[in-house]
Amino acid sequence: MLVRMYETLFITRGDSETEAVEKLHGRLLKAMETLGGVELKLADWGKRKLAYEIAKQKKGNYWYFGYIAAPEYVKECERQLSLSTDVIRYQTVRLSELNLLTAFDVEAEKTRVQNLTPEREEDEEEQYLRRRDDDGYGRDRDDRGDRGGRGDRDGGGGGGGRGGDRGPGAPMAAKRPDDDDDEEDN
Amino acid sequence: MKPAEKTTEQPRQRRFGRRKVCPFCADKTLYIDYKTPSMLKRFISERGKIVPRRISGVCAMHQRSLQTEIKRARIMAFMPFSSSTAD
Repeated sequence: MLVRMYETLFITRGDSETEAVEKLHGRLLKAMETLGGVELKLADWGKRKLAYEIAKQKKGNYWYFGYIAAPEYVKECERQLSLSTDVIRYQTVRLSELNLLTAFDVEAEKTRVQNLTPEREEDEEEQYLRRRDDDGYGRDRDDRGDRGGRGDRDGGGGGGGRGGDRGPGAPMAAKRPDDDDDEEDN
Repeated sequence: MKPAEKTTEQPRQRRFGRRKVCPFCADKTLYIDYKTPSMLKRFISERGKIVPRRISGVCAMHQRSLQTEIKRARIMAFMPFSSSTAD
């Protein structure tokens, strides 16, 4: 049987019972019996704060479901998730290419998936502290300072540097009109 | 006719005091994954926008994977699509 490895992460309502997920799990396994596949793990990743409200919920229970199955199974799995009223969001990510089931080292993948641990959630104070220290990448476009115009195209004395490329503390290095792009990476 | 020899290669003018190195190329063990929002958070602005690589110094290849993983993380509400206030 040609199968792929997938992981489905789904969020249930913050106030939902675990029983509902157990029932859902039963249905998922039943579908796996008919369509074929191997379950690697269903793990409760606990309650987390959502970055934005989903279905009027500010918190959600995260569940990790890893499996090896045929592509048709993903469709059935997502159908089951969409039918459940407790599940407010789900996402499946493909982890491998189409291959024979025997080609997978199921045990190794099982241990890998077992060891996947959700990140600990920072409490408010930690978040505040981190935000205060965060000076490297947390800047917005608006904070980058004046771009200082594009400068003259055919080099007008090399004025008008592109302020945007530098960090706020970077020295305004002498800008020559002939080197004017990030060409080495593109 | 012989093509003109290009031997006069001019040394490139350094514009930056320090060359930014892609953090994912520097540390091969770093894995870009949508399930680890704390790592991805370094590459979004306070508003939740993805930081352009000319600022973060990420190489093109890793910026691409960073982009997909940030978008996946947004779907799973690990990080915001946008936030109007500095959040």
